[in-house]
Amino acid sequence: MRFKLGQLLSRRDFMNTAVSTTALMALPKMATAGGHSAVNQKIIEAAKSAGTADLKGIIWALYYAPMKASVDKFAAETGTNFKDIKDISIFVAPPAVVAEGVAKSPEFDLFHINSNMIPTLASIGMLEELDPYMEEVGFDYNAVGTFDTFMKYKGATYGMPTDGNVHTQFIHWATVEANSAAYEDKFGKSPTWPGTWEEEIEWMKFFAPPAKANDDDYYGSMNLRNRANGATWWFMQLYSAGGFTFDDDMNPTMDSDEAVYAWETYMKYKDVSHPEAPGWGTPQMIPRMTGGKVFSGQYWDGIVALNENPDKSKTVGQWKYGLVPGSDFSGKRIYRSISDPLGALLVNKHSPRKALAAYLAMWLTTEQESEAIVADPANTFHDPWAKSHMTSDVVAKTYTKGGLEGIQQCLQVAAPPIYLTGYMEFTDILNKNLSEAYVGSISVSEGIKKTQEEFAGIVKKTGKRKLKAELASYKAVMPKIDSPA
Amino acid sequence: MARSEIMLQRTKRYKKMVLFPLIASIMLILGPALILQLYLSFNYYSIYSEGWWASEWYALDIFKDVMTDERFHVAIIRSLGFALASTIGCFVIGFGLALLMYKNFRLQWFYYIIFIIPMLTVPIVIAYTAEMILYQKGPLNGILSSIVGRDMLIMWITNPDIALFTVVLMEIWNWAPFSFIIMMAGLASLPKEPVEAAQILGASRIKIFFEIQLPLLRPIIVLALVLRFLEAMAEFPKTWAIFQGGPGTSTETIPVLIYLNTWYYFDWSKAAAMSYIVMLMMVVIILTAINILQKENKRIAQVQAN
Repeated sequence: MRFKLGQLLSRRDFMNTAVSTTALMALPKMATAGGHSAVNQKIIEAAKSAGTADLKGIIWALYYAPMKASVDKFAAETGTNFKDIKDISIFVAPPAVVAEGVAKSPEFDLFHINSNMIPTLASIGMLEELDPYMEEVGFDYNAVGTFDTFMKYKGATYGMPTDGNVHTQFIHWATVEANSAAYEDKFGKSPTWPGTWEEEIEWMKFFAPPAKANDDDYYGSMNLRNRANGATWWFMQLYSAGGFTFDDDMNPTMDSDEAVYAWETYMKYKDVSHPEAPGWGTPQMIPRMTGGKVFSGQYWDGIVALNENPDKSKTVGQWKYGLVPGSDFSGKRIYRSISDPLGALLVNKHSPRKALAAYLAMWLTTEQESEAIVADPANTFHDPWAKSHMTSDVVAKTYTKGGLEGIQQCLQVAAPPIYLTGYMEFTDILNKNLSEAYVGSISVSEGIKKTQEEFAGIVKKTGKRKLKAELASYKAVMPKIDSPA
Repeated sequence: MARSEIMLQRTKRYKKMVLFPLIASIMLILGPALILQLYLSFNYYSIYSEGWWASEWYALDIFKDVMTDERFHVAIIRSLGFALASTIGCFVIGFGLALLMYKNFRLQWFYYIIFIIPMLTVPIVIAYTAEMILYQKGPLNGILSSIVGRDMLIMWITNPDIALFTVVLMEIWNWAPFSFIIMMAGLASLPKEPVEAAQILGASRIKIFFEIQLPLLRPIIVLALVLRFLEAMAEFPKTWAIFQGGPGTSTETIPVLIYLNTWYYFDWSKAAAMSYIVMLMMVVIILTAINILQKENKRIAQVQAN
């Protein structure tokens, strides 16, 4: 069947459409003739005027895979490619990147690394400040809440986030539904959502046992307690109690009331955790989630996508996602989640191709390009962080609408671990002591005392004056609100 | 000059000629690294300072800091215990297999390949494979349960009292073939005459083993033990891949602690001092072993001369 153009579109319709399109084109940030948003077009132009190069970077292949299509687009437009990749896991990358920095090596242009390493890497003078490039092209993160502060150190911007990686509350709602009547009988209210750490433990103690009756391998808590990860949960508990890691004079506050509360809360989860939890990391815990063998916890949001992927999960549609528990310890309810490790692209100051590297990093972080990267259904390593991701149907297809709501709530109250030079040492010392206390090798009070002393030693070694100068950057990353809007 | 003296001099010259490139390479490659390491042990260097050449002279303070560090002491004891246990384990199994295998039999080559496979496997693969086997409800506990007839729920990976022993088991599985190969070579090189003479005189197999073969094998045994011990002291990939020093600090051995100090704490001076102390400790162990080996060789030479 053939149509004439006039049958499909009247002259008036055509004129209306043309006028509106012209008007829309004039608005900033909307599509340009090349199919790019205004900022993307400016990035392309800036990159073209800076020349061309084959960029080289340290990035984990699992993180790089969803970026590949966008990198190819950038290469087609600008002639600058990102094809020489040193494939190192994000967990192992810090030593390799520090080695490059100490050597002042110009070999690599981009590093995809945990942004909590920014203070350490900026301290060794290896990071290129990105503000001038951002101003040049009018780049804005448009991040949820104050998430963009994770990229700043002493007022300057050093990173382009690719991965929000915020801890989100996961609850195996199928178990709640199956036992909600019994819950109502016992507590006289219906189960809505655990608001505090204490309530979450109570939920785990109540809901996990009936599920365990059908499956003796079903446990309450999915939170990690191994040597490499445990501190992540401890930080959420400390911050939500109104605590902080140091006072204004950079003396550790590991023995404060809030810190003691965090230690005690952390240990209470032992009652509801798998006996092998002290040795378990993500490779052990993820199959338990997708297999429906665990009830609740705070976990990296990428697992939402995995849980809801029918090809990889037996528990599609069985979970609810939302805000992590808070605490009333300070006298008011405070909620604190955590983003760690937060994948970001950092530019090597010693690279002769640093301008091109900065443009590529910005390109990958723009709303237009990051949407597909975040929404990749196979490699769910880059989790949503921008405002536009939260309303995107493409991202919602991977993370579900409910998942995105939970992620958005948690991002608004996302805090960092210790955002200072020496982040890795502080974290390992805390992890070591928490792990020792958790397995019973030392008492909680010994753990607190050791952490206080060892933190003081790190401060002394790194330089109190230096760390005091960084404290404002650390505090700036802390959320400004107690509860998400 | 006697002909024998000329031969001796030629042999010495030949030895020097052969060894020279090796020593020169070591001096060129390792020398600068060792000197820099020594420099860092006496001068405090921070990665945040201008450069290593601008670091501050600390005299023996860094060594004192290491020597008074309780974590370092415990790590040394842990490493020595681990190395000793795994060396003995590797040797007993390796030597046992060598005794079963050193006489020719049908399909010997097949068993030989099977026995050396663990040594050819990448340690990281061994670690992850073992991890799957060693879960509380994993295959190993399953097999043990069916053998003893009750539920065995040993927490191989998560119990801090067992974790280091788990690494010992992995190390034995990985490296028993090394002892096996050395002892196979040792058994094959034994002179046949003393054994045949003893057999003619009616000595039992056990007596021949303990009174003839074992004494002759002593230098080889010392060599197998020393080499394995040195390797075990440096074990890192399996321990790090599964445990990262945990649970708690139960698997925090010397290599793990030095790695943490170097690449987590970026405390390169302290790590350099630690490495030097451990290196000196190992040098003492090696010199003692060489001394024992020389004595054993002299003793055997005397026995053979008599």
